[in-house]
Amino acid sequence: MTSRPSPPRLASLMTQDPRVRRTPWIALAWLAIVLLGGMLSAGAALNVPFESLAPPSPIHPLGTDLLGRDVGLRLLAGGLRTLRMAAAATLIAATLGSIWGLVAGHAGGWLEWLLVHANDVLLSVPGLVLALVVIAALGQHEATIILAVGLGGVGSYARLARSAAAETSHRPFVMAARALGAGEVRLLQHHVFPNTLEALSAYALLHFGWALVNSASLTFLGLGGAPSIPDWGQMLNESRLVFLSAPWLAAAPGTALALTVLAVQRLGEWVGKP
Amino acid sequence: MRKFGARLLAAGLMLCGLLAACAAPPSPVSELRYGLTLVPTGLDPHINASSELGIPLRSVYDTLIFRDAQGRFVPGLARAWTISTDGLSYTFSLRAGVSFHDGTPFNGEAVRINLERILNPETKSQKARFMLGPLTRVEVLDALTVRLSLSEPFAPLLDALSQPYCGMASPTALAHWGDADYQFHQVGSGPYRFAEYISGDHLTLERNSDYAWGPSIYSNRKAAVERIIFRFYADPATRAPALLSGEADVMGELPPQDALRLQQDPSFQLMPVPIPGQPLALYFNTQSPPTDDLSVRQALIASAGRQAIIDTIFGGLSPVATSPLSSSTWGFVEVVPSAQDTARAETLLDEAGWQRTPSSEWRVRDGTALTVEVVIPPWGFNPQVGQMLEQQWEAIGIRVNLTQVASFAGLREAQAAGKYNLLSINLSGADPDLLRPFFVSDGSYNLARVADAQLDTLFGEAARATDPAERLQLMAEAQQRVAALALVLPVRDYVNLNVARAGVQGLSFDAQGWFPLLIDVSLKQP
Repeated sequence: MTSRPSPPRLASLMTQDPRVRRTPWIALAWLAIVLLGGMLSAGAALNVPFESLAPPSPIHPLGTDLLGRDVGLRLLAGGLRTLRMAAAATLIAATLGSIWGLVAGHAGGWLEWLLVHANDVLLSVPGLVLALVVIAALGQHEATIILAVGLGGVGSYARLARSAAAETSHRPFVMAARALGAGEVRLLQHHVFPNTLEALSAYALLHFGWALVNSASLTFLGLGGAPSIPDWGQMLNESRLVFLSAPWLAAAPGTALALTVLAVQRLGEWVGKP
Repeated sequence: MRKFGARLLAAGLMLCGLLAACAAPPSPVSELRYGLTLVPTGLDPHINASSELGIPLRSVYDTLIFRDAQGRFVPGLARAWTISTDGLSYTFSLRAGVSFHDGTPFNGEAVRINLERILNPETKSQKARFMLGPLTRVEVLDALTVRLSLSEPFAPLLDALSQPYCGMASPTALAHWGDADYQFHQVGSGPYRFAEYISGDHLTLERNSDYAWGPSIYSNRKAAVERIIFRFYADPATRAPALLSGEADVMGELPPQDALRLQQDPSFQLMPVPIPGQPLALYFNTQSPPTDDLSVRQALIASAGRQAIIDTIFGGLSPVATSPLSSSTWGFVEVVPSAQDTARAETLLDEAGWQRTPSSEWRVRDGTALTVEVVIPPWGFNPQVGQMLEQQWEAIGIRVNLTQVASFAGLREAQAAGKYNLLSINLSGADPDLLRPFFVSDGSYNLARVADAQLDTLFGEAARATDPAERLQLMAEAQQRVAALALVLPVRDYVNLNVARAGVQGLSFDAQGWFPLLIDVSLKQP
């Protein structure tokens, strides 16, 4: 008995195409949920009290906290704040670090020596310690946390950008452009920078995960300054005092944070390996 | 093969026997493991200020006098004392036959050396020096009589002398170790000897079997427990697990939710102890709008649902605070009714010109939204209390900006900058004089930024009055004046939630609330 070959199903088509197969769908979907959920919950009343410490139920899928607030809603709103802080911090680190490294790698000579050694000094201070110093100096606020985490990441970007730029600056097309009379700024902007972009953007996603954990650590330590605005680090901190009675309060932000960092790392690998 | 099996069985049985012997060694000494909450930066009672240090040291030192549960002063190392009619000189007759743990005899000279050590600016005392107020001179009249001279009358002196911060230490040990090292080698005359202190790790006390001069507040003449080991559990979340795992027998300052859980467990007992002093309270800045307006302050107080805060956050385990003094403090009078009255608050705000408008979520006057800045520290459930107040005030149209600072220094910075409408600080202590720096115009804790002649007079006179009845009257008037000016929103009386294993018997606490009377503790083996 012979049978006709069945028509290829969409799912198997997708798994056969290597480009589709390598796309981290789950990671992208998770990040989309976090972002969309955060945006949708933006107008919701986060501080409305219900029953205190209610366990998960159909009405409150993630339960309520000590003050009776819906944890699911706060998790969504808090996710957006946490992602926003990490994104802004990554942007600061990427921008300052790239400029620092590109200038050092391209310039060479005494300027490179100076910038590289200054960077070594910066790298010798652990990121979280540097962040605590910045917050102690500038006060407790969301903007301070962003700046603090951002500055903590500058060093590693500068190092990466310098080595990429140093390598590119000695390639023939750059020398050719210089021979044709291109200025140093133009060389950096149009020839060196585009060739380091791939490495820097792959690193940015990896770094984003680091920034996420670090900004959540700082709000966990109560340095966010505004206890009524939710974010994941702060929710974790609040959960500790009632951990024995309501362990789900720690599980929700903890799991969300872990999944988000994993998703972003997965995305970073995907970007880095074309 | 059978022979091998029999040998294996025999070996197995022997191993079981060995393990059983290891698992239950008969304890040669009775030992209590006591959980402390904060790691003190220093442990010298004359120098350092933390409340934690008094928990072990109350039993290492005797004081000249003690304070009983009713707040009365009873003899300690001093058999009797007289106060001159002008309140400027105190004469103490000392007990004979007392010796410190190192054998040094206790006498008038020892009292002089101890008090002069505290007074000496080089000692850099953070607390004891301030507790002694205007004490200027200590004279030894004879071996067992000393006279303390003051530059002005100072009623809180007796309370100061009853606290472990003014405990009597061995002059020999003080001279031998010096100010920096004495904290590791303390020698007192109390029911327990200071055996070992490894900074940040543990502190061990051992029973003083020569103790025979206990004050009347101790029920036992000698300590029952031979050794007490204190360890630190700075993170509140670790305290209940330490009790549940059997790591600690007694622990203070449990989070209320954990305390309620352990209360359900028959192997533990919950002992809530009210702490005299100030309740958790927020002070109004009377210089900064909108709280420069009495009506706004009254409205904020009336609309605060303090009972709801107690029920939700503190599991109902604290009384609602109704005065700038907590209800267990000597001199307390109720001046701020506990009931929430949002209707009155709304009326007060309407009359003050802060109107609700259809266009805004918040009440508005002259185009400005009614906004209060609230500054709180991270400890003692202040963030949770702040957020509930935020919910309650927002419900009647008051916008709240809640800011959490990281430390006590952060609170002091906010105080100095003055950019707050409400700020939360509280101190503990059994003497109502601790309110004075908060409400006199030049007080170091004048968070309300108030300059009121009546308050200055009342608190000043209360500090100088040596007649207790007169002091009570003045303190009552002072509290009423504070409430009339609506300077403070008292929220909850501080209650220390102690939990002990069921086998711990006889645990009680002194008049300060914090300090256990360890001599009376005994252990029933489970």
